[in-house]
Amino acid sequence: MARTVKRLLTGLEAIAWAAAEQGVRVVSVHGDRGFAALGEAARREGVRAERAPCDAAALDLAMRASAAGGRAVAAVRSLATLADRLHGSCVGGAGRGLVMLALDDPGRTFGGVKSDSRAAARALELPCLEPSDAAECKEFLAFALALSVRRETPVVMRLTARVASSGRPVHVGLAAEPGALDRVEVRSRGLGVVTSGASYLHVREALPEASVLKLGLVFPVCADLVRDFAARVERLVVVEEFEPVIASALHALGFACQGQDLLPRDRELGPDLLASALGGGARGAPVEAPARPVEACAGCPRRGVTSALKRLCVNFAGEPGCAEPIVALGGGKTVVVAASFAGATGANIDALAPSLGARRAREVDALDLARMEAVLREELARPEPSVVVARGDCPMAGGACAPPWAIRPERCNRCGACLRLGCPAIADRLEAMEIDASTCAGCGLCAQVCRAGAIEPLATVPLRAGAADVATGAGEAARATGRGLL
Amino acid sequence: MTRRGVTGVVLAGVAGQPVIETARLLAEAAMSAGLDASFTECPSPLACGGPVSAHVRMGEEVLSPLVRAGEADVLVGFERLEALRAGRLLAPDGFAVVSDRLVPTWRMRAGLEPAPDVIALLAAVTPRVVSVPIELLVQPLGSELHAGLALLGLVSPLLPLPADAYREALRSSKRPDVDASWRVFERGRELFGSAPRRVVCATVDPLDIDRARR
Repeated sequence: MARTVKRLLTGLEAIAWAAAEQGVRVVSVHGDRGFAALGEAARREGVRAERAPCDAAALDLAMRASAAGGRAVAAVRSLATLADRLHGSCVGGAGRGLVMLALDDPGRTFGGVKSDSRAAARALELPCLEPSDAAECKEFLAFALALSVRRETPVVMRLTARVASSGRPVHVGLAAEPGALDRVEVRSRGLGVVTSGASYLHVREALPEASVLKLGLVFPVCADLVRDFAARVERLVVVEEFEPVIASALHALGFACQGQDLLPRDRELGPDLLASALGGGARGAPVEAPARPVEACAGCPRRGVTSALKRLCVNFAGEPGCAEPIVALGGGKTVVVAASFAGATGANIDALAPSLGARRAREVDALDLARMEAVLREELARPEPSVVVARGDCPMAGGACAPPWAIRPERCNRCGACLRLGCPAIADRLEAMEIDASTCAGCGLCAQVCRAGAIEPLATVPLRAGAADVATGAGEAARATGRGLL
Repeated sequence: MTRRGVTGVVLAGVAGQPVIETARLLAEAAMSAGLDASFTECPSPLACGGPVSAHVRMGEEVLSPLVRAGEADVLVGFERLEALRAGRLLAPDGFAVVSDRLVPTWRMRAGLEPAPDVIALLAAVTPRVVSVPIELLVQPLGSELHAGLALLGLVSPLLPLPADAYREALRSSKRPDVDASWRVFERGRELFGSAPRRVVCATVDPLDIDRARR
């Protein structure tokens, strides 16, 4: 038995560890939210990690590395966009191992795309593995690389956000012998559950009596194993998130099974949901909290761009992520406003303008509202596509914070212009709008939209009685009142 | 207070608060105490402001990383509204420690909706609710980055881990400020120890400075 050490690793960290252990030469990553941690973890383990601006670029890099004789892992958001490339590569083989990691997000944990990579892998006829936890992430990557070499094909490893971001103790050190991918656990005869991935853990938690066929290889499904398992149980239920991939494999083998008729297909199948759908009752106190819609942080340079577009009454769209490009449509033409903030994506902004047929990219300070509006108006009036690059620093990623602003209540006419910026620091109080000094990042957009001239740097606003929360921060007031209590 | 030998802890706050880091530290502590442990995060898509929660489970054998509804032995609320959101996970005999920080939603800031009385609503789930003036607790020793440690320290006597396990986890976390972090943790722990009756039994807790002010 190999000597091992236990470490607490998330699924992605376990993959990074396994990549180092298996001699992977490059991990190419697309997906700033979910997979960002993979790139960082891989670098920590000494594996070269490259950040790709799109799925295709991530795959291309990994395929080139693989063609050059190195082991490669491509982490992509969705396999669906890669169909033509992957069909091509099946002919060319996979060198010393090419694994595609796909991150599916049934619980919208990362606000990701809703697509089922297992279905895509089935359409491309690529083997698809699905680990349940961090320990399996490590084992399965080694297995996937070996399988890729043996079968001369890229291998898909599907992760869900739950598996990718959950931490478990993992044996690291010298590689242990990998166990079997699929596993039959016989308990009661009454109910047999066929499942994979994180759902397996949730099933064990919610239905401890059920017999379980846990699939590690979800495409293709091992027919003998299913036949053997089906013979041991009376009722067969498939628990899988998203598409009925396992269920259709079972149907094709001639087994009647339940699953999608009992379970929703648009969300994560956690233990509570499984228990209420397949036995047991709903639990937990009926506590409701007010919804918290996602909004940009205080001081976000993106707010400068969206506010200017709103003031120009231009329709615009963009992913909700921090630094995704915003596409504005006005007057029958398109302006792409690319963000260049500290927390920006891997998108190559310099290459954006030529690739869109724009002759130039104009740079504007994202927080200079008047200039931003003027530039956008000019660009919208031009006949060809335009690119505007908004420059600014993310205050959450170590960007500089300016001193906070404050509202002079005697000048404030409560018109609500500042409130409409949607800044977390600005609130409507009884007599005037108020800026929470501890939240304000000092971007100054509110001062630019205030027509009454009521917003000034906090340092220049005189203190007034009853405004302790604003002037000194809520903490000071709390300290003054609370000291006697401790 | 554990269910099937597994203790469940739910941590909730808004993005920008050290919710996930604290969850990880707790899971590390459980692991260094020889328990099986898991942590899982539900992060927000934005850098700050959105809801963030994390679940930690520890015990002899942990399967699902998710804490089931009504099975959280401890709820660590970094922010009041998010603590309330996690309230459905709280066990009827669970313990909720909630920071006095409230980050209002847009509707609250615009005056369209009042802020709910979180402590009272949580007290309807379990009588063991304590509100913590977090700045007061953390200020002499550190910043809001230490809020997690203060809260963790406060609930630590309820968890099946020795104090050394936390220390060990802190040391291996490679934080630059291990000593300050440990002092904040110990201060939280002392607070629980110094007022166990008030903290454990009182619904309307004297530590609740908001209530005292009214």
